[in-house]
Amino acid sequence: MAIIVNLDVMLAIRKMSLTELSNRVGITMANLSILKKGKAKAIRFSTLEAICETLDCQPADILEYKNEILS
Amino acid sequence: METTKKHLSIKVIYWVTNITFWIFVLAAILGFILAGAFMLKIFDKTQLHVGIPVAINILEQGTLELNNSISSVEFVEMYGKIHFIDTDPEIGQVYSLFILAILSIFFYIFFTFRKFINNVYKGVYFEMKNISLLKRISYALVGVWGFTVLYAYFQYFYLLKNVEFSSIEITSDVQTYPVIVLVALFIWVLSHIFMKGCELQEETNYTI
Repeated sequence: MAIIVNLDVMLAIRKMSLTELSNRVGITMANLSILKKGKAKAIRFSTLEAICETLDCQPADILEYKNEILS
Repeated sequence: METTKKHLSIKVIYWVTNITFWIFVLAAILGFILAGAFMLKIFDKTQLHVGIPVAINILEQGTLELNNSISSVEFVEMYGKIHFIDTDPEIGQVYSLFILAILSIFFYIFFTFRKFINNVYKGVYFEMKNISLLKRISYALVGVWGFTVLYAYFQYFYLLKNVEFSSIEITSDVQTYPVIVLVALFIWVLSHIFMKGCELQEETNYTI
């Protein structure tokens, strides 16, 4: 997929576990795992907002576009 | 699994399907026993009673009294059944083969439909297994249609061509049951709608 989710990178920078993020954001571990593994088909603005607020970052810090044709 | 409140209609369909299925199973067992007995020529006193999918005309005229006037009328394009008074064992064997085949196809359709309804009752709607079940039902219905047409023409050429009555005329109007194909087509289209529903369901499941 061309959109890469860098959630694990941000979690490492903030020294936060997935379980802690799950508790603070209010998203199930299963859903966060889907997001982290890049299996998600869409992300709601409300979810993105909650993650950005918790990790104190910008959406671009979590999501990255990579052109698969060029790479 | 998430439990949702079931609609009354789904409960009714579930119970009606299951009860009808088990009644059909009992009837099918009886049918298999009877057909087997015909095949093995065990029941030599049992007589055949078969429906004829070919229209007949009754040549005898009758009268119709309506509004104080009497009209001459006759029955035409009728469908009925033939009852054998002394069934030839050979004919019994041929028909038992048809009974076995049609019972098997109907059992398969009923069994598949029951599985589909049970999935719906459990709250499993837009999943690949349901799409596969619907497709199987539609293909089996096309099979039923083909078999029914074959049976109708078999009746026409094997039986009715050799029937002789002084007051009835066998027409060549053989029933082809196009409604079965329409039902099969409808279920096939429904399976494609379910496929789209399955895609949407997956998208919803993977929206975080």
